[in-house]
Amino acid sequence: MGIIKKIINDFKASFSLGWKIESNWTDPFLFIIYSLAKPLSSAFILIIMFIIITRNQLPEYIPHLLIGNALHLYTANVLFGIAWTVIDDREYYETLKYVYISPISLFLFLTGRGFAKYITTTISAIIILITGSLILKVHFSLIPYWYIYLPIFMLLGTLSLFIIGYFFAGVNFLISRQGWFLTQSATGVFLLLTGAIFPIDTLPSFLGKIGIFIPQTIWMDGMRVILLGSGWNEVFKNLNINELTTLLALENLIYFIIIFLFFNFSLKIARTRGLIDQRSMG
Amino acid sequence: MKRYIVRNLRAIKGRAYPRIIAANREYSWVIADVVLPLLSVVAYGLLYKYLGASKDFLGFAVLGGAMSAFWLNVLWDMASQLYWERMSGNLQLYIISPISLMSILFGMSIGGMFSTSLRALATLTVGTLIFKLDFSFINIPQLILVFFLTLSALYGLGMTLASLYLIWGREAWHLSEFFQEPVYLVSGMYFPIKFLGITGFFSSIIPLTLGLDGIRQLIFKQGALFGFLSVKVEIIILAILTIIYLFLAYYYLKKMEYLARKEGKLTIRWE
Repeated sequence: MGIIKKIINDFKASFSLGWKIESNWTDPFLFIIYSLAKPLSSAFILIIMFIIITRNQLPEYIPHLLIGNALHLYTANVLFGIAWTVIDDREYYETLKYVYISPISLFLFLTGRGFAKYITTTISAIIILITGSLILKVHFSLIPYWYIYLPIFMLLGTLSLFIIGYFFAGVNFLISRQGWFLTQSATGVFLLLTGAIFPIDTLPSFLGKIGIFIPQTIWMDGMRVILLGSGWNEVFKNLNINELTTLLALENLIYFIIIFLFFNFSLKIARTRGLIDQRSMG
Repeated sequence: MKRYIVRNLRAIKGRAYPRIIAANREYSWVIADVVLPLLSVVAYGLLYKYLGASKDFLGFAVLGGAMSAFWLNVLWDMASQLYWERMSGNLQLYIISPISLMSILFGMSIGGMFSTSLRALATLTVGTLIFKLDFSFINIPQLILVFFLTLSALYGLGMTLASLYLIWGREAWHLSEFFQEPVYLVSGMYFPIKFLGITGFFSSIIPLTLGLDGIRQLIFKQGALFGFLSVKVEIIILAILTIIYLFLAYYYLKKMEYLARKEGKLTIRWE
């Protein structure tokens, strides 16, 4: 019981810190506006591009685009949030070394910090979905038992985001100023390869195949199946929601084992080489 | 007077120099600056391709991605720069030295324009190769004029924002975050601004809006078809914007300097 209590306390402390860093130093009004302005703008760029070209003749694609765009926000923010914490705390606040020597698991610490991003992203994603749905008159066709599938799939998708986030955090322990570029690029690569704004079948075949092995691709397609009744990517069209759930869970498990080992390995290397408190950004 | 001018010219050169040299020093940043905008450009290009848009629209997205580098440079390396200079302790040195702050910002602009032009060119080249774009250079002198007027007005806006950001303090980072994506939307970075209707009129205060529209009209076959205003009118507006922003930059810098001295905030950090 003591261990569970400690885990909860560690998580609460890191989440609270993450939330304060995210929001506390800004005027709350400004924080809300900028939290919403950014995702809404990127969503509307895509929607306007879509409407200009199709002259609103292909309305069935809009919900897919809207859902993909809202979910990609999670990929961009949570993944970046977890990975960037390493660089931010190490080089800007210079507190990573203190966190490291304190009796808190770095794994849990990053989870809490990432969760703060997750909460703010959820607000943005919900607003994108609601605003987009109202303006574009999107109709959702929920599948039977969606109320069971939706939370399960959301949980599995969230896990996949955190797992990939730990990978980039692990990499950031080992590298210095390239960390910013790496995590930002990962966001761009995921936008391309996960079918967020167009089906992965549009990509050259070898790139499309890479997309299949990214958990977020399955997550986004599964969410589309749950909310709209059909997926977007040809490769998953023959799979029903149970099969997609199993596939996502399986990918998560495999990724988790590999990344957990990699994360601990990179932490060990960083400690051996004295990288926990390195400064490389001026 | 002559000595003052020479000193300020040296200050311009001195502040531009590190930015120009830095462009070729840290290669990982060069990759970052070229690859990052390119990833969005490719994603938007593929969306256009998926929807069956003409090649000119792919070109609009690529050009927008290339020009977005200038907006990022203005926001992160111009507007918030004085705030970072204060944080690192350089601002007090700038102010006590016998030069104008305008020269410092002007030097930064020149350095920023140079290094960003290289990145924008790289994005444009790679985007052109990926999507096999067709360019039809309709009026090259006008194209050059629109491009340089856009940059002048844009960096003038950057100078104005620099002084405002300094007054606003710790919000600098959030403000840049706040302005980044919405400006992509309202300036029609990835689609012709004409489709935003009246919004295009208001977003014309951001020089990128008319600059991008003018450049599109001058290098793509369908550019004029999707033009917001005629290129000549856009040139006149961009010239007026340049003058206004440079005047505002001068005014706010003087005001900021006075306030900072009066309130003793030149050396304050973390606020």
